[in-house]
Amino acid sequence: MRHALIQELLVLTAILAISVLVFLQTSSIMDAGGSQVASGTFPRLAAGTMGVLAILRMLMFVAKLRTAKSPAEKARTFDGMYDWNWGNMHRIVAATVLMVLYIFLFRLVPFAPLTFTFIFLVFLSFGVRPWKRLLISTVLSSGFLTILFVYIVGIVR
Amino acid sequence: MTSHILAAFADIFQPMSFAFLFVGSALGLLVGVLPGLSSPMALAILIPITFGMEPFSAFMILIGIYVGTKTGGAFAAILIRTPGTPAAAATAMEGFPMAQRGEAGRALAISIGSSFLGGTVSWMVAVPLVGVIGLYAVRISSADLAMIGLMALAAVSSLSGRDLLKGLMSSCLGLILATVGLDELTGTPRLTLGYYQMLGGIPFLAAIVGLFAIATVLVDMSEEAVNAKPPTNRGRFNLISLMRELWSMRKQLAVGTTIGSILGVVPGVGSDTAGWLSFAYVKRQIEKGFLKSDRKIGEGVPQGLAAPEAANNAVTGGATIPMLTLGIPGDGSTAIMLGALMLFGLQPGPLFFHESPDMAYGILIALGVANLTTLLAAVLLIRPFTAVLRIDRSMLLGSVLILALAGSFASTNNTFEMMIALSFGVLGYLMHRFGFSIPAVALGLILGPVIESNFRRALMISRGDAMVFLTSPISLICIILLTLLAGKLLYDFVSKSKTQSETQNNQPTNK
Amino acid sequence: MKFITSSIAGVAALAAAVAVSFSGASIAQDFPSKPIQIINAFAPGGATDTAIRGLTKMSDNFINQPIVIDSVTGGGGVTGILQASRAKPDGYTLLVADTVMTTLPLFQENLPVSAEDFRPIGVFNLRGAWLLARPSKGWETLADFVAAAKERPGELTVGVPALSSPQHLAVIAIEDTFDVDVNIIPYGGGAPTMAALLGDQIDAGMPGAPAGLDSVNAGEAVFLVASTELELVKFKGDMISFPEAGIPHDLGIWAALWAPKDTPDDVMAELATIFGGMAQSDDWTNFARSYGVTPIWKPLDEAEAYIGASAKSMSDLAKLIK
Repeated sequence: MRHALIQELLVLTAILAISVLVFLQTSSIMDAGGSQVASGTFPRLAAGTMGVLAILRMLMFVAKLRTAKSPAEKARTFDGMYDWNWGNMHRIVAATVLMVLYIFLFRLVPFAPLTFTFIFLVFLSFGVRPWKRLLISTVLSSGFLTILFVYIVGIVR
Repeated sequence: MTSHILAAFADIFQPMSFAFLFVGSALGLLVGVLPGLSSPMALAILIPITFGMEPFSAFMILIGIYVGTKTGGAFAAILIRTPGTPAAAATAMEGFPMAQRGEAGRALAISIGSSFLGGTVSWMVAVPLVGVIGLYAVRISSADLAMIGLMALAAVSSLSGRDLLKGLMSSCLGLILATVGLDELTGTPRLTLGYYQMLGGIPFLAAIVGLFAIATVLVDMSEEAVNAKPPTNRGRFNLISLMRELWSMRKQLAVGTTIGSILGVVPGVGSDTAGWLSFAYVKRQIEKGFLKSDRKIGEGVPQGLAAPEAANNAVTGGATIPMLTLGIPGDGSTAIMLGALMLFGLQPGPLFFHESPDMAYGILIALGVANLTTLLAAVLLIRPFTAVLRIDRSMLLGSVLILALAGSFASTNNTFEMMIALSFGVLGYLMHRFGFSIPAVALGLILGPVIESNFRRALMISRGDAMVFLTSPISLICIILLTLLAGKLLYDFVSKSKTQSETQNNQPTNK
Repeated sequence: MKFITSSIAGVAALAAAVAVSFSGASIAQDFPSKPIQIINAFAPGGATDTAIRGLTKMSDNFINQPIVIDSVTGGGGVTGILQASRAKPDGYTLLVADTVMTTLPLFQENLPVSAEDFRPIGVFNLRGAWLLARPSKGWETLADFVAAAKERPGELTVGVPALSSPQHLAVIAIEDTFDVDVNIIPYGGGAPTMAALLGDQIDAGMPGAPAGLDSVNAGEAVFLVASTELELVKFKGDMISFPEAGIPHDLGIWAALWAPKDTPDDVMAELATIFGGMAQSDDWTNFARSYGVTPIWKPLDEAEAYIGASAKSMSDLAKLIK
């Protein structure tokens, strides 16, 4: 539960940080343009509102925690937030890293079927089950995409 | 006019023309199904091949695609929770849970039927009014547009989230992201972080693909049940029971169609918003008990699927008619169609219906008939597509990721968009994890530019006089509704936290 | 070698073949040996996109290889321009871009790419901005508009598609010449500008011709002045251009084909021959006139001089803003 508390506060702090960053980034454009509302006004308005909401949420959160008496009651304040499953984080990280890799390969050889196959072979090694079917789906979808983009678009041109 | 319309019907129901319209619809459905592929892109790719064709036949294909994509988006939304088009994002909310409990066929049938009804009814209302729709569309002033956008944003973000504060924070984040790029009114670069690629703003399509498709896949991957297979499609769904079911939700369909028809005319707001507003309406009805349902919203309520789908297709008339009657396109797809008309040496505008009646009425009527061909094509596709459910979901996830990335590349031929899609995917995943509302961010991103530039433009025109927002009737109505909504939300919020803290103090077991 | 005037496909193709074989360059002998890609940095469906598609529609008559038009949008046009500038300078990747090549650096600093990174193959069409108003205003000529603007300084609203566009500069030219002050409203595109004009939300609009042509012909809008000599075959009425109205500027919105700056001379000459053939064909000139742009052809050095002059007059006008 302490994790959840820290997590929630971290997120709200991150939001506050974004608001502050927007304010800093827009400071130079508050006088830009001759229109009635400056370029920086809207981003600041949105960021300001977001920041105030984050603080409000943080206060309410802490207040709720303080008034709660039993541990069960405290747990409920997290209201569905405490389902963070760190056990599966590796899948997300792996998928993200692979997608970045894929994008880089894509720059070199657009739509190359080889790239797809490669990526999914790595996917496999990260343990998204079941292997065989994933392999089939990979080959099928990469083949499909290759046909779609390379050949059909090529012929159309 | 009547004779021209009859002639147009006769032209379209020629076997060849009808076949072209059907082929276009089927292509549109496929483009709509695939996340990342959009109708402007498909139209742009197809225009070179239509050069060799008769203008009329060429436009049968183009219109078929345009209408087909509106329906196709629902397939992916229902079957794998990955909307094929941004407009179908609301469809996934109820459609996917229905598929999960084995009612994929029913969900698809309802969505296709609703699309058909929404598109057709809206078109039937629009045709007699074809001469005036454009004239009303251009009367919507900057002040009106700003307030319409603001109201749509407020309505959706307050109604679609789990936590009001987080929903509003999400909208604010969307609005901040929407201001990235060159300021339309002063030319000042804003929040681009030094990336020239962002001068034109955050690539919209890529961001939406990231938020809805990639984020969904990441969420699914993080869940233990990633390999779970939904029960296979049990029970045949026949035409009579479908018609009975659609009749039972006629009120939601009517509301969806009305929202779609009206928003279709409002430039820049369009179909992406219409679906969410209709969904928000159904959600509210169920929560308030106006609509009896044995299921809670989010658990597969058919009405929550039907209303957005009807709204999606109802926008086509409103977006296309000003292009024909005034030469003013309402969205990216109609802009490309306008370009195509000009390539054929035609000049849409007030005289278009007099100078080239065959073409003008042909397009107008085809917009309605395309709903029929799309229906036919979609019905044929239900069975093959539901087969997707027989595949393990884990197998589909990788394909969706790749499709989403490749699709976001294809929208602009630029790998930067792939990075944007990925970043928004991770952002969407984190937001989902921490209980923020993804639709609210997306809506903020869509409506932010509409709200901001029109708000400021209205003040520029009035030279700083804010009364302009009160003197225009549409804007005034929106402001009144906004005030009511804000008051209601505040009341609900305060009374809810009060009762919550009371129950928490007295009765710990009661939530 | 220069002029291919026949519209008959076979003859034109033959002429193109002859032109190619007589060009005498060694690399250029079999020049297009693979498809030519033309990058358009702006959204499909726009004026430049329509023009280049119209130009290359009958490209089969001139070369044996297909011409592919790719829309590389984003970054306010910079993305596509940059991508074209980084392409291999072998004549197979070209760029189509209009006056934005010269106006963009006027208003944006630190852009990663500029017109300096390219060589023009040729300017192939010319359009202009035109000032339109609703008939309900009672203005029939530019003088009426100017009189109204003098009467209510700073109050008349004039819609333009975008800030720093040639359309915007054209309004600046009117303001400067007649010493009036109007309220310029940027609308983020030609379509919303026309919509605002037809919806009576602004007093006048300055879209790029041919936007609104049909509305003018239908009497829904009144034509006041054009920023350059326009050739609109479907226009019913007298065309008055800036010089004729006493405005000492001639603001044309031209569209040109560009190649990366290191493209060899013989390839440039070959490209100029190929596209010159298309730009002087009857197919294109007929299409251009019916569409509402003026077909011109200024190849290579001529294009460079033309673009340079246009850039200078635009940057002079840009200094007058504010």
